[in-house]
Amino acid sequence: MQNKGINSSDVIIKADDIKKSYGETHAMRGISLEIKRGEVLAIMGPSGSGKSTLLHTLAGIIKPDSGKVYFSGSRIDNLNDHGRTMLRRTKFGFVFQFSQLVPELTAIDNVAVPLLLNGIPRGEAYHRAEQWLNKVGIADAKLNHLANQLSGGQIQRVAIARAMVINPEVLFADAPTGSLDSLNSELVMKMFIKTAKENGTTVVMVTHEPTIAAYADREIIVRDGRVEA
Amino acid sequence: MHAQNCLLGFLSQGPNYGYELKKMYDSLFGRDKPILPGQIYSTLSRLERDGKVEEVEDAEKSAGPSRVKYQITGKGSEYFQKWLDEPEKVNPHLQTTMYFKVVLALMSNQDATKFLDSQRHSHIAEMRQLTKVRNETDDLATTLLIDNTIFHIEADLRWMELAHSRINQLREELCKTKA
Repeated sequence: MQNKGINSSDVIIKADDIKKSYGETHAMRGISLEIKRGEVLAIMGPSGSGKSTLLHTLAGIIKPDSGKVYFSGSRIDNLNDHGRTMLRRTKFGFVFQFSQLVPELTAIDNVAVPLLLNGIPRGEAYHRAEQWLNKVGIADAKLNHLANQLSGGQIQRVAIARAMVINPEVLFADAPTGSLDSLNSELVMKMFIKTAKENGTTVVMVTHEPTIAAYADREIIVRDGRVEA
Repeated sequence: MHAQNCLLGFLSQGPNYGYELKKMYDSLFGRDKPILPGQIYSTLSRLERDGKVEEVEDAEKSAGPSRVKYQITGKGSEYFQKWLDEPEKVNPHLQTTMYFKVVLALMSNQDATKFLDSQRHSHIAEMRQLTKVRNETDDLATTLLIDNTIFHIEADLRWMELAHSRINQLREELCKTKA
């Protein structure tokens, strides 16, 4: 199939024959893929198929045993710890199933932290955090609630705001609605995809749920460490 | 419709008798409801009329009543293959058809995962489309109706995923049935 009008600059992430084993277990047996800028990609597959390993490798968290990973044309699989930390702090956002908010901090503190770590002045950081929390549907009254006083749906919304506040180029999500009921999953996903599309953020998400994968532009299935068409 | 494709699928393994075809059908698909012998023979005669099966010279001498042996024709094979390759449209009673296709693909020594994959693509495309419509509508009635369809599609997709995981086991079971 011809990729009309798509040149290499449209590819934001590229994996080239990446492999990873844990002892006798082959989590990735040679995976190659390209993700376009602004695309929402769902990675599906049975438990233990290697899909989370793939996500973490694309995000530069796991180093592959062999193969290359490119972000915006530069290799990221061979970065040192500092390089990878900077990438994760400035270019990538993360949302996990259990959002891992800091329970002792308020909603707005949690969202401001990534900006403070990046050296943004306190006033500016809190202003932007508040804007993002409003955007994801957290009412002003909840901004100063501690993370553990929020509902599951609210926690995931705060986690999305925290991931988006640095204006990442790519947002990696691992079962982002895995802990929510159907209605909250729908509301959170709707908001999540809308926000990503408005900001031109590329989304790579792992999910077991076909209903969640249906929000993506494209899905791939990982089975036994390989990608199926 | 199922009966026709089942018999064609069975006959794609080689010529056989009506009675044997009934036994195969009952063991694979007729758990709660065995197929009536009359239905087997009327289906076979319809298939014969349409040129999808034909009677074949029976070399085996049988002491019992004379029996007719059938074989699949080129036209029959083509018809069966087309049915197998075509993904089914989403509908609430699809489970049975998908099960039939998986079993019959395996029985005719084909890669059943190919069918599952193309069916999955078709289902997920439908689900993506419905999800998009649901996101864009403000009408609650439409939303609720789409919710229902989406969950039916989800059930089918989950079944396909599980069937995919169990395909080797199923193939072994079917080998026993054949033997």
